[in-house]
Amino acid sequence: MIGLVGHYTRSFFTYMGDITGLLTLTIKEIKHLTHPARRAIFFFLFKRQLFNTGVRAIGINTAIAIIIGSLMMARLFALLPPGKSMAEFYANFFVIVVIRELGPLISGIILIARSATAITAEIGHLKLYNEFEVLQAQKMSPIFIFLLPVFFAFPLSLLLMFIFFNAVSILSAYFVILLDDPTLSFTFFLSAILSKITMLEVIITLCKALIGGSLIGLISLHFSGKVGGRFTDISRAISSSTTAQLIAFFTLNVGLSLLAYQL
Amino acid sequence: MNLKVDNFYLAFGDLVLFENAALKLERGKMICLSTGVLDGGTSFLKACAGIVPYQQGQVLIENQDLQNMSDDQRFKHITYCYEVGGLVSLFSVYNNIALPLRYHRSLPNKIIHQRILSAASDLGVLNLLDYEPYELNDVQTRLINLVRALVIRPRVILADELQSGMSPGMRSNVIQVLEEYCAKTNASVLMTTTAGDETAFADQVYYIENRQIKAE
Repeated sequence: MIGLVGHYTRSFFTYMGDITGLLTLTIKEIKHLTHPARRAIFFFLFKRQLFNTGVRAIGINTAIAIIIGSLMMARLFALLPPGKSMAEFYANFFVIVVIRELGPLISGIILIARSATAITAEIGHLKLYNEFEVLQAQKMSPIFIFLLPVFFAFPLSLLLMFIFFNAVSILSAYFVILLDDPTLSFTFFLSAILSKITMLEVIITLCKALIGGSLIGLISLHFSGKVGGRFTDISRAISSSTTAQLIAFFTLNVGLSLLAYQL
Repeated sequence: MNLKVDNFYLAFGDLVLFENAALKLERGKMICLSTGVLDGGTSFLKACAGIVPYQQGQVLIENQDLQNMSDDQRFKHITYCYEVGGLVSLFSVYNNIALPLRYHRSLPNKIIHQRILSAASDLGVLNLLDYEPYELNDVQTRLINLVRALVIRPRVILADELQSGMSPGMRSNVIQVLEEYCAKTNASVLMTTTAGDETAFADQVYYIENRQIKAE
């Protein structure tokens, strides 16, 4: 039993050490961005990654935001206290539930399910077929070419997904409210929500996107880097990284929310 | 001397491939290294290119010790052409050729483009530039590796079993292109060969025996 506890403790610290090491290596590679030609290569790869991760997720993000936005409104109608304005009631609810918790969590889950798994498979494939060595043979840094674009694109994509998710949720909720109250103006509805958003909300949301996105990216890169010579190593890497990403992202979200709103 | 290997020792765990091996490659010369099955020809070339670390000895490229050269210096001096693979599947064939040059040298895209067209045209692979690596067969992949080497214009080209699977016509064209490159730039080529490959063009043919490199 003690041996088992020791084994898990050691594994945890090794894992944390690996992630920290990978983060350090990735940050070190930023120096290449001062070289104009390398910067151009980076932006070419970064834009490709941002498109695949952030822009192509718009469809699924919209669908889920519409469902959540309208479903929430349907439930809220049932809970609305007598004499209370729907817009006012919704604004409070929206900030507490969607902006603070639901938006980041759902966007993070979409990022993990859609893009992080793809990146783990992609980098794992490159590792399996020795393509890291191909770059090294050309004296190019695999970390700069393969990893740095992911490291920057993931947090930015997550932030864009948060913003997009919130915007679509607001719109879908507005249209559902219109069914009950056709006189409600969008400006009034929007300003009611915006007035509830404090600087703390903005900072915590930014932290969740930037730290969460970076963490998801790093975990993908960490597990794909562990792919050896067997094809099954890739599926194992995807499975392990998804589990680790879900745990890390949920822990980060709950931790930041507790820190900001409860303490 | 473009390449000089002395007292070379290379092992993977208990498997010793080379012990006290030596080889010299003069400027403008082309030499062949006849290899058998699993006798370490590929590993030798990779070690000379700085891809695989060797345990002992000295590899000098234009009188500079490989171990003391920066990545940029190594890039300018020596290029390894893969026998299998050697292309990154994320990029098109064209970008696989262009990327190293863009990464290391601030050359205008126009010049890089001209160099690629010229080398690809010489080797008869112009039509492959827009392909993806998975669309190429083994011979085409080796030719694209060679195009990339010619575009980089290094002092030493290390070509691993380049001739394998080629028709006689294709083989003589490739050799002619390499001879012209060496004559024009004073660069050198070290090519591993296997049974059935052409070696008559070489200034010297070596072979591997008892973990050493010997001249024929």
